[in-house]
Amino acid sequence: MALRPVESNWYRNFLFNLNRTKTRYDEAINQSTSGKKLTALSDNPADMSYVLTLRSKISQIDQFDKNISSAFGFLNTAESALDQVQTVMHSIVGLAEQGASDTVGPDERNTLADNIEAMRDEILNYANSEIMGKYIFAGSATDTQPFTQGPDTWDAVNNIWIPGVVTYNGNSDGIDVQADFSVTVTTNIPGDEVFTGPNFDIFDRLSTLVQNLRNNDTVAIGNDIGNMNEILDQVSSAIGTIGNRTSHLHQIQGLLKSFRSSIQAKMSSLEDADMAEVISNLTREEVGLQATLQTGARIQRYSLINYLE
Amino acid sequence: MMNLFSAIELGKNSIMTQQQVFSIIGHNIANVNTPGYSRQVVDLENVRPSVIGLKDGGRGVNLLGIRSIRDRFIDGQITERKQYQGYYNTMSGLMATVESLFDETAGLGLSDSMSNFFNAWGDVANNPTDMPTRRALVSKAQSFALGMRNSFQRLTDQQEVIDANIGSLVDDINSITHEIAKLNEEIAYAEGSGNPANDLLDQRERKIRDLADKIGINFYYEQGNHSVTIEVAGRPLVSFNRVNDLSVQRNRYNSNYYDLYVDQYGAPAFNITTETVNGQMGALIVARDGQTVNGAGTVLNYTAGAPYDTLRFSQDHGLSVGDLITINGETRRVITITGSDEIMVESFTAGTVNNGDNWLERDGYIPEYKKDLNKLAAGLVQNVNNLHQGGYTLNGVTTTGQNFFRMSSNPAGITASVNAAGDTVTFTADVSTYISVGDVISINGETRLITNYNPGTLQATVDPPFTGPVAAGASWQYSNVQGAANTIQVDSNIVADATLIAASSQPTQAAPFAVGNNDIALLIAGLTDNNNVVDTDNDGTGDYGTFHEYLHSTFSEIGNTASTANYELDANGSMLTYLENKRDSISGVSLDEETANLMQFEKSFQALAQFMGTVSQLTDVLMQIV
Repeated sequence: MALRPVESNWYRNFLFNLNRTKTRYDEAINQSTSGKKLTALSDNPADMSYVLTLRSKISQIDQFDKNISSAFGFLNTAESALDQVQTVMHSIVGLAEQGASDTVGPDERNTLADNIEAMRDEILNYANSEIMGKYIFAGSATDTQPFTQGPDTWDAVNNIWIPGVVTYNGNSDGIDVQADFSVTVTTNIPGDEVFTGPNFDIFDRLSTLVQNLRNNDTVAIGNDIGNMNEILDQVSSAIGTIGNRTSHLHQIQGLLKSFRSSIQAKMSSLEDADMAEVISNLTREEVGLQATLQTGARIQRYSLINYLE
Repeated sequence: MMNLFSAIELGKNSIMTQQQVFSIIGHNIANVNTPGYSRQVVDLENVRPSVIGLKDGGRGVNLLGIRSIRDRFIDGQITERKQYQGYYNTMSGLMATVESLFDETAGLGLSDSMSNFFNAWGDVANNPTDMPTRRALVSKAQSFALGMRNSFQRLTDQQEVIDANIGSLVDDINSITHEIAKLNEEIAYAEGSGNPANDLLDQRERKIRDLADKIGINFYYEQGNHSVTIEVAGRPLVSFNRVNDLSVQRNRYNSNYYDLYVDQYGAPAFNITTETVNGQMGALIVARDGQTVNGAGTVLNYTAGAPYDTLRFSQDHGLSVGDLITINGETRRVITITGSDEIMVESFTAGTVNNGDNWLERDGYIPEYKKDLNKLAAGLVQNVNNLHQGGYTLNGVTTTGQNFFRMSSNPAGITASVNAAGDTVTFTADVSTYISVGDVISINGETRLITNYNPGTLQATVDPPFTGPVAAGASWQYSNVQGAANTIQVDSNIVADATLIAASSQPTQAAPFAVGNNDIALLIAGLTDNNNVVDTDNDGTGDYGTFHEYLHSTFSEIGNTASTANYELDANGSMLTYLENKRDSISGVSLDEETANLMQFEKSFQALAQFMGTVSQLTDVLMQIV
């Protein structure tokens, strides 16, 4: 519709368009300085809510990563303790083999027994390993010393000292970490699953070996060698379990890392401004704003009034 | 026949007419920038000869009248549009404020704070006996709870600011309606005495437009006296020179906020709160109370009671505690949800509600956001506490049954008494962290509304009063009508002693001494992924989740409402610009046009002056003959 041209309309249109151009210019400046497309809930409510959800996922994944690191701490400590136990056990097997041979006499056997008893104490020490003040082989009773040794007792029949009985004071409780949205991994091996179980009590068997050495019972010592190898099996099975868990955690950590970066990419595509686009928008709005302002200054440059004499 | 003297007379009259034309052109040019000014044009008429005959000429030009050029139809459209403009302008501003209360974009908002809370439980699970880790959890939980309370409180503050604005807007509106009534009178007087009241009409049009911007109106022009009649919510507001003033009264059923009333010529003022939906006033009321919409079904069974009525509906109501419902013009607040189709409300006036009546509820805007926060807080408190109560603490005294968040029904160790009049409850300690005005309190089975609480005197006023005095030492319960988000707080015992955090599912101080057990901590940390943890339909079981999804859906609702208001504001702005352009193209002053007129009349003025000069010379010639 052809409107009758009136000055007030020119100014009104000019102001209306100037406001619009300035709003878009503001937006462009805001985006280019913040680097974000979404700066308020109303910018794009659906995307914004999606971004917030993704951000909460990332925060969860970061927590999983923390959980996994903490699990590595426990599992690695347990593994190295058990590795030491393995090493000690290998020496014990060697000593037991010496003791079983006919070339050694009772005095040497007694010395071997003393050595093995000391090594049994060493294993007990490893069984009481701590990390940050927490016993790692006590199940969930982490502030209870899991293995305690009773006093040596005198065997009046054979006239020998029997090494003190070791008792397990912990529990069979597993401690889990949340490694992923739906995966929990157990970070501990309770003492009764590696030292006093699951098949037999390591300390009892060592005590038997010590007694047999002191009693010069070579047949029994020969049997004990097999028992010692079973101990190695029990410990290495636990080490194997730890290894499985560690590699599982490594795998999860890798998956989380790639999941995190894909979420990050998605988030970035939703909330980060495309700089090339933003800068070109900014330039365009700048030109538009300039044109609008220049036009505004020209309004009424030509008016009949100017020609009135 | 015309003589020379009458020719001078003709010239004089005509020059005077021309001068009047100049003054109109000047008036137009002077008002080129006056908003709502309608340009005026003069109607000229050639003066008829005194005697109609062959030899009698005309007697010059005369001013017939001054008309202003206007188009009532476009004026009406502009006024109509102004109501929406006023609405969306105000709403857009209000929503921008609400939006700014939830600044989630910087990564410091509620959503992140909630993530931190759950992650802190993960840390405790990794290291259940470590005190710094436990204390970190307490502080994360406290800052989340504070965030919830602050968000809720700021929404309430916003409602209060809006409420104050409603009060002052009423004064503005009343002063405009009085001016319109006065203009009605002046216009009728001027037009009645035959003078076109062009400038008064423009002025009145401007006032009507201002009024429409402030409150939604209907208006029409009367034929006889040129007055305008204005209605608001179907009730007369201005009728010729009479005005029905707007007024506000506090509604104790709606947090003591203002209800809007319109006088009815001396009859009791009529409550138009729910019917005011346009203009600034409409935006203020809708943002404060929510949009008024029809409730599902009808009232199936109404049982009057004191102080609370019971209402059963023909369908599930979907209401929450604290919601407003309106039946037959009376608004009351929901006190208890007794079933998916049944509620208890503050008592209606006897005879107001009948079975089969329709009912209204409020939807969206600030009350809805507060309700969402409440439901989130309630779901979180309930789920965390349920798990936490089953866990074992590291504390030697309290083993199990410890709440992590304070529940709304255990004001530990504080007892109450009621005075003889029954209207004042005195507590043994400050209860301001438990209750606020608008909550309800129960003592000995009687439930009352708290209308005032003074932490200094430890006294709360209730309405209606209890039936009698209650001796000191009485136990009391309360229900946070204000909601869980208003009161969510970490249990004060846990704040004081982090060993009370129950991370273990097995005894820690007796066999098996499972201090390192983290089952409960893992379960609580895992709540963040649980579905159906928020009870949205008030049936007592969760049906929406996760917590984050629920919170984000609220954010998205706020964002959508804000962006709609912004969009509508822009759309209305261009519509209004178009209409005003159209109006000005008809009624506006064009300087070129006025200048052209000026030049044209200048020429004819010069010619007339020449004419008179010539007549004067002729007269001189005649005089010389004498």
